[in-house]
Amino acid sequence: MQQSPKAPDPKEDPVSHVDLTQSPEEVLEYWTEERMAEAKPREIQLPEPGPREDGQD
Amino acid sequence: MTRTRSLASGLLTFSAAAVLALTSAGGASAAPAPTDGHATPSVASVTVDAGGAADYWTPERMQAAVPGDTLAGKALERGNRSSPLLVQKGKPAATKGTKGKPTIAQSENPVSHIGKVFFTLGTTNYVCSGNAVTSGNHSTVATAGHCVNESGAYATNFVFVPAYDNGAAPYGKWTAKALYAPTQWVSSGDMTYDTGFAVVNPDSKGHLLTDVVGGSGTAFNQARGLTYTSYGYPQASPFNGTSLWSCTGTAKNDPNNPQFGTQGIPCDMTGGSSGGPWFIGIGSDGVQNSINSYGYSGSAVMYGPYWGDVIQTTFNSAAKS
Repeated sequence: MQQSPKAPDPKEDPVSHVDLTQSPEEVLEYWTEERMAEAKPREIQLPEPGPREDGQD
Repeated sequence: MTRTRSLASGLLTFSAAAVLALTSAGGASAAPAPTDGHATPSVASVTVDAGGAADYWTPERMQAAVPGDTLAGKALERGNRSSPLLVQKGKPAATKGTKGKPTIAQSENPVSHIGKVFFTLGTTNYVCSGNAVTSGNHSTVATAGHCVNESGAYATNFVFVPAYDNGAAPYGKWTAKALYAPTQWVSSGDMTYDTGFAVVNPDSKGHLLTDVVGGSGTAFNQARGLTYTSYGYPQASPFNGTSLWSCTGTAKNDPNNPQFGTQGIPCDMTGGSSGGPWFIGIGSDGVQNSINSYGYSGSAVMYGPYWGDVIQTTFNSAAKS
C-alpha cells in the first residue's frame, strides 16, 4: 500500500475527507463484544532492511 | 513496571489455588492418607480442565466466592492435628523462576483521552489506537491514516473507545461522523502523511468528547530528534490488546527510507498500536506531535510521521468541522 512520496500538486486540496452517513445507533449496534474481540490489529510492517553496504554509516 | 501476562493453558495442574477451590466444594479432600508408620511421603494430584473453569466463573460466582484466608484457617486447623511423623526432611532442593520475554514497551494504566478505535475496511473489522485532541469542535480524535483510509476507500463503522481496559469502556463509545486524511495519503499511500482524524458525534446526552475525557494539545513543525512517549493498544503477540502500553525514546530519522521524513523511537509495540499518540516529552500530558505508523520486520523501532504543514492543515479542517 505504501508508496514513495511525490510532491503535492499545488492545485490539489491537501485534505481529503468523508462525511459518514451511518447513524450512531447503527454503528454502536454493529460493534458487538464478539466483533470487537475478533477485530484484526491494523498495522504496516515493512520488510526487514537488508544488510547495508560498507561505507555507509 | 512491565506487566507479564500469561496465556491460559489448556490444562491446569494441581496447585494451591485448586486446593482452595476443591476444599470449598467438598470439604477437606486432599488430606494425606494414613500410613503404616513408615512415613512415606505422599502427593495428591488432579488435572483440571481450564475450559470448564472459565465457564464456571460467572461474575456472580466470583462475587460470592469465599475469601481464601477463611479456607486457609481451616487448613491450618487440620494441619495442627497432623502427626509429626509425616514430616520428613530431605535434601535441599530449589527450582528457578521463569519470566516471560521482556518487552521494551511498558504497561500503563488507562488514560482518559487515549483509546482504541474499531472500524471496518471493505468487509474486514480492524482495531487501532487513537487519542482525543483539543479542537474547536471538542470532538476530534487523532489516529493513523491507515486506520481511516485504505487505497482511497474510507472506513465505516468507526468508533472510538477512550480509556479502553480489558473490554470496559468507562467513557462510552464515540461514533465518527466524518474522517479526514491528507490527500497524499488517500491518493497514493504516501507514508510521509500517515495520519488521520475522526470527528465524533456527541454522546446520547449531547456531551462532546473532549468535554468528557479531556484532550491533548497538538504541535506541528517542531524540531526533529525530540524525546517522545508513544502510547497504544498492541494486540499482536506477545501482547493481547486488552490494555494500554507505552514506549519512550529519542527520535531518529528512518535510515531505510529517509524519503518518508519519518522518525523512530525504540519500541516493540505490535499491530493494534497503530494510530496511538506520540507526546513530546515523558508521559501522556504533553502535546501530541505524531502517531504510531509503521515498523520493520525484526526491528524494535516504531516510526511516526513528521507533523508538518500538510498534517496541520488536515487537523485544522477536522477541528473546525
